[in-house]
Amino acid sequence: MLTEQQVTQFHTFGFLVLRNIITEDEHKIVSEEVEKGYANKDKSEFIGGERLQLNWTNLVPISPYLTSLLENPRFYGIAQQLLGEDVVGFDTTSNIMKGDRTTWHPDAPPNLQGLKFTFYLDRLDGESGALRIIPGSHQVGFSDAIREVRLKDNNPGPPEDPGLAINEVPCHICETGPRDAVIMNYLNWHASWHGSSRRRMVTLKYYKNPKSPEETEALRKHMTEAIEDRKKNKTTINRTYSEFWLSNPDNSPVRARWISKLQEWGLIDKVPA
Amino acid sequence: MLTQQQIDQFHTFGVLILRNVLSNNDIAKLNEEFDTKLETTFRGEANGAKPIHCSWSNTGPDTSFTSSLLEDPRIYGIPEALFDDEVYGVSCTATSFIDDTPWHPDSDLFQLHGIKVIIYLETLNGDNGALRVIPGSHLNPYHDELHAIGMLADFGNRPLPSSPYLIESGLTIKDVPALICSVTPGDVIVFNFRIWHASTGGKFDRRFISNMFIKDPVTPEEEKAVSELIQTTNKNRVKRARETFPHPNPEYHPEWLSNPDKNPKRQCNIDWMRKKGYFEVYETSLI
Repeated sequence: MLTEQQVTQFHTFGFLVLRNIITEDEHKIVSEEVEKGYANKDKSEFIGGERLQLNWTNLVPISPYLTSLLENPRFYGIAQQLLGEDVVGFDTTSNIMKGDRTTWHPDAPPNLQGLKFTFYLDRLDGESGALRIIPGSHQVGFSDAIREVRLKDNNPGPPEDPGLAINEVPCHICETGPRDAVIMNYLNWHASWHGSSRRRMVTLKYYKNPKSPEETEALRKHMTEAIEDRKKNKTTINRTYSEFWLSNPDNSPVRARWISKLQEWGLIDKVPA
Repeated sequence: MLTQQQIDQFHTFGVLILRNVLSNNDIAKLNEEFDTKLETTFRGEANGAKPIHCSWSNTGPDTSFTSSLLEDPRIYGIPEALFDDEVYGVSCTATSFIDDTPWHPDSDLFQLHGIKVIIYLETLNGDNGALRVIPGSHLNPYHDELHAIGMLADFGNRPLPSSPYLIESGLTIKDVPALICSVTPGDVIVFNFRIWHASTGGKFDRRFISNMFIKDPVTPEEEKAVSELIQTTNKNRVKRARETFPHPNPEYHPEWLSNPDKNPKRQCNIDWMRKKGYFEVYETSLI
């Protein structure tokens, strides 16, 4: 669990780096499951422009350990500590990035309350694709101001003054080791630069069950877009949930509650009997 | 001088790094004047005879090249490009740092539009004392939130001042997420007075030139903020001078004020400062 100061740091800056949050044995298992998943994937499915990202859900039979991490109290408990008791595990994904950059973006629209854990599994720094975050950019006013800044790669100004390159945007560079994780508010602006041609990333994603009308509307909008996107593009992150995970073989009450919530949000059509 | 994108970036993030603004020759001259001044400058001690950083105004005759930066279009052109209103250069100081500088903003006045254009005289990175800034922290609610969590260093806390937040968390300066402003001599960093900044890992005699500019106040609130700044700055400079000089000199040297070369930019700055009451405040205390 997090200390009071870590909770404060997360809410102030919108992210937190946790050192050695997984053991060496866990790192080995996680790496093996990622490689198994990658071996299974159709390599023609790399998406995402410059970032060239291949991603898939870990909520499938070949990655039982990664599946279990979403419900592991070490992570779920932290998500609850940061977002409140009523948190829904949304997904865990594995990702291989072949491109050398990810352009600046937040993951969600304003008011959406959620976070993700990212594990890069390899040592990364500013010159090898480490996550770059603009601290505090989860705050609405600051986020809106950043949206107006011209960014050479994805929001360019005129050719004679195109704006900032990814590595010119003032930010914090999250140097991480293989067993570290970064917890990030979905609203934080983030990017990466100078990544290798085979950068690995695992995520655990959680949403707060919305309470206020603004949060409810933000979640509804986000999920509607996710569902539409899923219909259009079979390779996007927003895939359907596997029967394996939905069948909830161990009768986990936590998973049962999440499944019911995800169904309510329109992400699951039918739960197998 | 600045592109529109750079101006927008400055207002959003509160900081800009401009590369190779000054030449090697300029840096050599700045170092030469810095050396001369250091020879005659007393470095105070604190915490059981540990030397502390020292700082001086560059308006004296020994540092005429350094003070000319306020009148150099490569420097004053930067703050002038950031505002539609007039901007005035009000001070050029040098500091020889040792140790860390804990987290702090230079001002909490939201009606004050102050810009610092700073120059480090050596190559710096995250390991040897480069400036660290929290981008966007010149804006509220972010700026005040950092106060609320206890980020402001308690300068009374010895042996080294640190933020209550960092002490309670068991964290250090470098654990706070920030932009590390790596620079080589000739680069300049421009930042809003309100941005939170710090440094760590710097060696003895880390050299720094700071040029301060203020936007002309156009509302009563802005006017009040400038008055407050003058009082606060004077208080800080007097304290600093006590730690630095056995025989203090005026912050604004009479020769500089006489503007012997009749430099129009300097005259403009002097006239504005006189109008705003700078010299009434400063003349009561020889620093």
